[in-house]
Amino acid sequence: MSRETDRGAAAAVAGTLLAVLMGWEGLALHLAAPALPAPTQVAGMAAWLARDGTLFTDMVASLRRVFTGFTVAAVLGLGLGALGALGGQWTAGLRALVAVIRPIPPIAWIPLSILWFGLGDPSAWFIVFIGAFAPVFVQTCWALSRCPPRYLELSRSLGAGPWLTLLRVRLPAAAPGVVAGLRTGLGLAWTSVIAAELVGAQSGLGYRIQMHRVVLETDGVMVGMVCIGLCGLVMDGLARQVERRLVDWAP
Amino acid sequence: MSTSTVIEGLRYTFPGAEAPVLDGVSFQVSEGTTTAVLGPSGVGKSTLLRLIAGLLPAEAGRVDVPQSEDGVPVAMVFQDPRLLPWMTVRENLEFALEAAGVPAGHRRARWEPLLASVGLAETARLRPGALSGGMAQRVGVVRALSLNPRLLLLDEPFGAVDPLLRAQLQSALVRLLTERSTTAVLVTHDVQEAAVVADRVLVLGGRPSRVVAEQRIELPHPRDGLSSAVAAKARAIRGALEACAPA
Repeated sequence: MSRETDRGAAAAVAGTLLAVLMGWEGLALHLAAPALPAPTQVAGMAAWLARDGTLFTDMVASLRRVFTGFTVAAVLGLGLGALGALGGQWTAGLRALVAVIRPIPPIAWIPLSILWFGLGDPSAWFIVFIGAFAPVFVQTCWALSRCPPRYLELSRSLGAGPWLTLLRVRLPAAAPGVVAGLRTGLGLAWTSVIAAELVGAQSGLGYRIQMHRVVLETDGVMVGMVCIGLCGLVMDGLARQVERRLVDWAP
Repeated sequence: MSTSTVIEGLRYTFPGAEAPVLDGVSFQVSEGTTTAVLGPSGVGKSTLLRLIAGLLPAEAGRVDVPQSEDGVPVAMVFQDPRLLPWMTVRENLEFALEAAGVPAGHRRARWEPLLASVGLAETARLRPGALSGGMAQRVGVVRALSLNPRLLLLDEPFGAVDPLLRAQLQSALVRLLTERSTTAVLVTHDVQEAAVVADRVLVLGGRPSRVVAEQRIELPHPRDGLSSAVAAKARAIRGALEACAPA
């Protein structure tokens, strides 16, 4: 992208943000106090929460839960996804099981996770795991079982055995799909942790939103929401960078 | 021990089809010569190459390629260059040699001079996405030749490039085949390409397909595609093709 196009995009983003903030401020003037706090009020609350360290502590707590739950989901999703793709009919049961579990939203698991793991980190890790596992599994399975036939034919024509074909052809060919699954899983891990913290945690951005909601501090609620959005944006940006480096050959 | 490649009585039916696409296809390819296979679309030219390469199982017949001490029996150049996009040119070439069981220390000596001989030494570190169609196809030819095949199969390798580049690629191919005395079977739909590259032309036709005509091209290499002798051979091949085309 040229520098001029970059500048144009940055100007468009800034203009949109400014318009939203102005519209938000205008709307806040016409609504009753706790329903919609003004952006200036939210910024004030954010500064206050940042100064006393609460904001930072909550963000770190949420990120640590995401990291733990997502790591387990990624390892198991990649491993079992590969097994599902390469195991043929022997792993049809595994694929069917994940297909049934996949549509159940992570939030539906919260009651059970609290019963199983109690209030606290293990429960949140489990919810994050549930949110991230299915996309990683499904994408890994899908990408590995759909290697372009022309590459497999080339590999056979060269006399490559199944092991060499797996390592040098099937796995790299699947990499873009697998990385896309990891990215989707990371995004869902982040939304899942917030859901888990809303009811089953003693810290984190979701927990903080819930605490502010109880005392009708909607500015605090919105600080939490904005932080969630920004953290998600940064995480997705980092994941994109990793994706570009890992599969820079993909169109 | 015979030094010719013998193809005898090949038959193949596509899965689900009632009648075979090829039946009783027999011919021999003498060592160091190039045989072109022509025929109407759908006659089974590419299928024939895949049967010879062992990529499809023949229902009947045999393919007998002489054994090689320092190379593979058969290597194939596909219609598309089929370079693996996540590997550099060097890695693509080394992967082929690794698959053929060439020890790591001996691989570079096999591909490097060949790549340089087609003017692509500078591309070794590039990914296929950075190459033009013609460059990628030349790398495909280098990959196949670096395996020292007793029989090189070429499936319309220059079908997707413009006429000027095609002529250059044909010249480069003929030079490499001649220098290395490589035995080759070239599938093409281009009668002029057959007349420039091949020593013999086989025409496939009929239902199911078999070899219905043969033309020998006893002209010295390199051949000028615009010369009257090559043009006369191309006309003769076209005549044989038209004679077997369905009315």
